[in-house]
Amino acid sequence: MLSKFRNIVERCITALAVVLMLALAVMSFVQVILRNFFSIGLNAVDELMRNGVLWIAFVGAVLTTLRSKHISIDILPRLLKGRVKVLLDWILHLTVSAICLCFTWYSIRFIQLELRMRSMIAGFIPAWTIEIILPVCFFLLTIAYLLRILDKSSAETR
Amino acid sequence: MGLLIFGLVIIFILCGLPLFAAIGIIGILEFAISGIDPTVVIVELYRIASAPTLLAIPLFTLAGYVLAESRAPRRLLNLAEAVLGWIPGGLAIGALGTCALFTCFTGASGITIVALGGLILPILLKNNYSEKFSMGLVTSSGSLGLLFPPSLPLILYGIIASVSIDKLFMAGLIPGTILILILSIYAIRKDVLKKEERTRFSWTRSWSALKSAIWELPIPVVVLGGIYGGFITAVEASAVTAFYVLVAEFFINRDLSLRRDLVRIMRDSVQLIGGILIILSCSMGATAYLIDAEIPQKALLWIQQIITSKITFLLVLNLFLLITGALLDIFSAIIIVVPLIIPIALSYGINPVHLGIIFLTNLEIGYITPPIGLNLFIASFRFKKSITYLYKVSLPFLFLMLIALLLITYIPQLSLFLVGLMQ
Repeated sequence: MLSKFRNIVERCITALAVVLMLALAVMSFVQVILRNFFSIGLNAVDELMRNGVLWIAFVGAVLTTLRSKHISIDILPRLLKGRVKVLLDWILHLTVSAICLCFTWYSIRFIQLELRMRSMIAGFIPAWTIEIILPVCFFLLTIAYLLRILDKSSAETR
Repeated sequence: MGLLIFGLVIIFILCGLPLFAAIGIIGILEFAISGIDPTVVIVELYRIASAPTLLAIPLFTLAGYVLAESRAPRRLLNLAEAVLGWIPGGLAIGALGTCALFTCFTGASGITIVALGGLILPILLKNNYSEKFSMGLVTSSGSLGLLFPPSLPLILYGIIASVSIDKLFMAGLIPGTILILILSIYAIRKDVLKKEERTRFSWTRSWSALKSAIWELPIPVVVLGGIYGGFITAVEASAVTAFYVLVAEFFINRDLSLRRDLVRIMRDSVQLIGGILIILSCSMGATAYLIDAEIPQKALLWIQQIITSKITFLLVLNLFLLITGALLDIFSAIIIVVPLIIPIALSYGINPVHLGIIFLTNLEIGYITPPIGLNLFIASFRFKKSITYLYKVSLPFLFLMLIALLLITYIPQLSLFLVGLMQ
């Protein structure tokens, strides 16, 4: 059940990552051609692409959490073994999860702020529709780290 | 109180807390304590969507991954072997160049050693280079090339230090060449001393190797020529390169298939980009706090009391950065340390462009600095050798690179000469 849920999330996120990356590669190339050969500069597209990078960053962060390890200095954990290591992993995952929850909370406040200010991106897109990626991804990170604990404990009991 | 939090987070970091979370929470807590709504952290974070040059990072990363996954490294090495194999040290120099090319695309994230090491090592051994030398070469060249365009760490430094990326690319040219040159001389000496014969040069072999690598060869020309010639900006170069590489490897060379490889490569590159950029995003809040609280200025006053001369400062800076480079990966090191160092270095009259080159050279060397240089571990894992063996084989390379570092640090003209010509 849990792993099924995890797989579905991972697939959706991967699909999103591939689409975003392809779109970025094609759009940026078209922009270069337009700018240099036809002297057309589409500022709206530039702004969209910059926000696309933000999306890629956060989608990528979730993917990293689901599939491998985030960048950290793991000198101490390398020295530890057995129970102590498991305990440390628990504490670390809980801490990261709590921190991500904290970030989720403040990103929601940020979105509320933007809703009130009616900010726009590229002149016609309500900013919150793009910025919503922040709370969504931070929340996914929160869950992903909790899932890691459950994964670990199920591996332990087996 | 602020210090207490800082200390606690440092302990957590040493225990392995992911850096993005650690730096992020510092920002939130510090703002909360000083009575400012921590939503500011998210406002700052969102600023990364307004940095136009950031676009170059995903695009160059994608290009690097596609190249590394295709058979381009094999073709380029084959070409190097055919064209340079008869010259003393030629093959090793070709290997150094190929490693440098891939590292500047992928930012020394270990991909060079993992992807290229397995190809280079057997070729070197086949051509009678000793195992010690070959292994040392592969390990140390895993971070070589960081000073050449389109080096991702250089772009990141430019974004964070607000220094023109085109100037940085110009500045890195001579120092990067010096590093390669010094290692090349070592390779030539090693090759001249050995008794075995080198392979003979063959026109037919070189021609066929050249033909097979014909689609990869224009890439450095487009990137270097385009940027140095002033035809395109770094971001435009990244767009052209990514698009070109996708077309060349998926449709022309057909090394990679859309069905089998596209999703995997895109996923891997998005993962690397996410891993770096989330640290950058989460650090925006903490950096804003540091500047608000005037921490760099306070550190500056303290340092100025201890260190009076520019030369001593540079020496201390080198030591500090070597340790940083051995502890942190290059991207986090830049994100965390640059905002702190910039105002201090400026006060000692160091040009920010020169500082960037010093910074990257140090971090580059930090990768192979024992006991915890990252590339030593990656190579140990990749080649299934003990870590102490790798300390030993990379030591001569480390020593030579340190000489280059001293030259680069104390002769600013090496970095600034070409920049001056540009203006």
